Amino acid sequence: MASKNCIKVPEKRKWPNIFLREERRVVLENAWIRKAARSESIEVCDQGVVRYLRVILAVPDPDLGGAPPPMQSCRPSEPPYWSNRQSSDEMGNLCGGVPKKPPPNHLHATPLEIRRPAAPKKKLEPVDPQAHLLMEIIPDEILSVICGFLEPLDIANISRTCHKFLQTAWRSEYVWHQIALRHEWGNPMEKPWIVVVKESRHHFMAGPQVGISPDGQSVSFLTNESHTVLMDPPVQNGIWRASFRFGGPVKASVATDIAIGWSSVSTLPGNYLGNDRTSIDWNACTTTTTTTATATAIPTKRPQTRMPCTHTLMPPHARTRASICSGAIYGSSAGAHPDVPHWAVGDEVALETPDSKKEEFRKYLERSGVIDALTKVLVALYEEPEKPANALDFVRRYLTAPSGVDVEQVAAENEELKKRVEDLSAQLSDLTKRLSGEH
Amino acid sequence: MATPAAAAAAPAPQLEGDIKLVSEDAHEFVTPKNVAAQCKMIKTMLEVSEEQEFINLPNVKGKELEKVIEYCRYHVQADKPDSGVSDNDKKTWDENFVKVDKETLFNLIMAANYLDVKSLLDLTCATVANMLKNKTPEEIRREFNIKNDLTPEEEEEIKRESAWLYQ
Repeated sequence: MASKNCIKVPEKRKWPNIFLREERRVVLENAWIRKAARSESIEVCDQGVVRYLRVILAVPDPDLGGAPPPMQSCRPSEPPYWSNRQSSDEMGNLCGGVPKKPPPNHLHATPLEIRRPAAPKKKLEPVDPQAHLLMEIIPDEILSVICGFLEPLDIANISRTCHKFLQTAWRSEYVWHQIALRHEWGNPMEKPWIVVVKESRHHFMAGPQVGISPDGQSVSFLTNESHTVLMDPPVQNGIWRASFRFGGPVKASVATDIAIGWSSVSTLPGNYLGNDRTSIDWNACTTTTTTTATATAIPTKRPQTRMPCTHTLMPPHARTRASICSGAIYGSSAGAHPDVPHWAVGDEVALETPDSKKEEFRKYLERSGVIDALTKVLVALYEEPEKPANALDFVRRYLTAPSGVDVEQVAAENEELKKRVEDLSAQLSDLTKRLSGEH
Repeated sequence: MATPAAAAAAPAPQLEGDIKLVSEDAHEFVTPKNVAAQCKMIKTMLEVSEEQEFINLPNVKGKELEKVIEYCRYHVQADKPDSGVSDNDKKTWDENFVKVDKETLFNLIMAANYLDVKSLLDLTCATVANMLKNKTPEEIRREFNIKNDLTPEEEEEIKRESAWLYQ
């Protein structure tokens, strides 16, 4: 069952996959975001486990306050090396659940520019005899500084020239951070990232974020301390706007990392596979930080077609696991939606507020042993060899035992007493028989 | 691209007078101390000991040192609030300043890095970056005489990782 949870890329939609390594970052801004949005999934094979990123991302939503500045220089300098090019109306399909809106102008312009056929090849210049100086005399950190002035496409091109550039450009934290800064995205940790999340049956996991579901609910994802990312309500197909705010517990080795939820579907026998419809087990990703996120739906002012669900209390062992890996996305900071709480760094209060009541209640339940008891009863039910027809009755009986009494002990005692009664009655009838026989 | 030293550090009072800078190849440049102090490295040295008459710069050749001083001199003048030099003028000047051959440019980068002149380092690096822009890997290799030493695995990896950029 578990292995079947490795989702296959739907064949109907031939969206190009984005291949990501762990800890590779994707720079997103309008054109890029569109591309990312078209890539439905990221598939990484690792020792037979298909890891998936089922989500990503994003069109700067005009409703949510505009778009990042347009890309400056970005032309493909060589043709793509895969064939499934996208037509631009693919975007429309993507929009699935959302009513179609004419895309804002910049969305018209930029991607076309990006995807226009490669310019006729320039005449290759003769090799410059002085040129070797670049690699010889300039130290790595300065090469990184140089690459910091470039756009991602150029960085990719340069990184494909030689090993040194691969390290100093493509693999350089500094370079990617510079790009984010240059585009005035600011410190990614400080701004919400308005994105659209494509999601199917599986549950999107991410760092703390706030989004708006297709039917207008604002959904927030808050991280807690352990390994769970629960989404509430479960994510439906369609485009979601999510305001990401990363950092904090999701913080990976680099402060600018923005987590996206991807990890492998758990195949461990004891793990729990989302039968509460809000969760699924995921294996923890290698070395990266794992976080817990619970999500709540916050009703917005817009009319709702669906009531926000609340998360079912699950026994601790059955909680879902997910990991937030440090695969990073620099997003566009498109400003906050009025309905979306705007978080700032260190803004603990703002972060806590939506869930503080719930959290308090949870703590109260934990303190008073309710959760413990529920866990026990569910475990007992689980371990029951013959499942009772009336499970509720079982739970009720299990729970109604007066406090201070160990149900199992009492049951055992009862069992013993019953046995004894049987023995005694057998003895009694035996004796009675004998007695009547003597007479 | 590179912003000229926005805060052309107001010369501290002790930075009056001239200082002699000696390059690797024994060229000597007599410079006002406040100009030389645009190089953070020299500034630090000046702060440490005010008495010294010259500073040896073993990592910078005369040609580059001259350029660096030229740059610092211009920006000390131009960045004065009452200089009347517009930002556009400065930009144009900067652009012309870096119109040099590659070797000089690279040496200039090294000098700026060694002397710690951030604005000049940014300017020169941006210039090199411009040379790298909008080129295919092959073009870059040719122009900068780079030998492709990527292993097939690495090449495959970077191809995969950057696929999203080539859509």
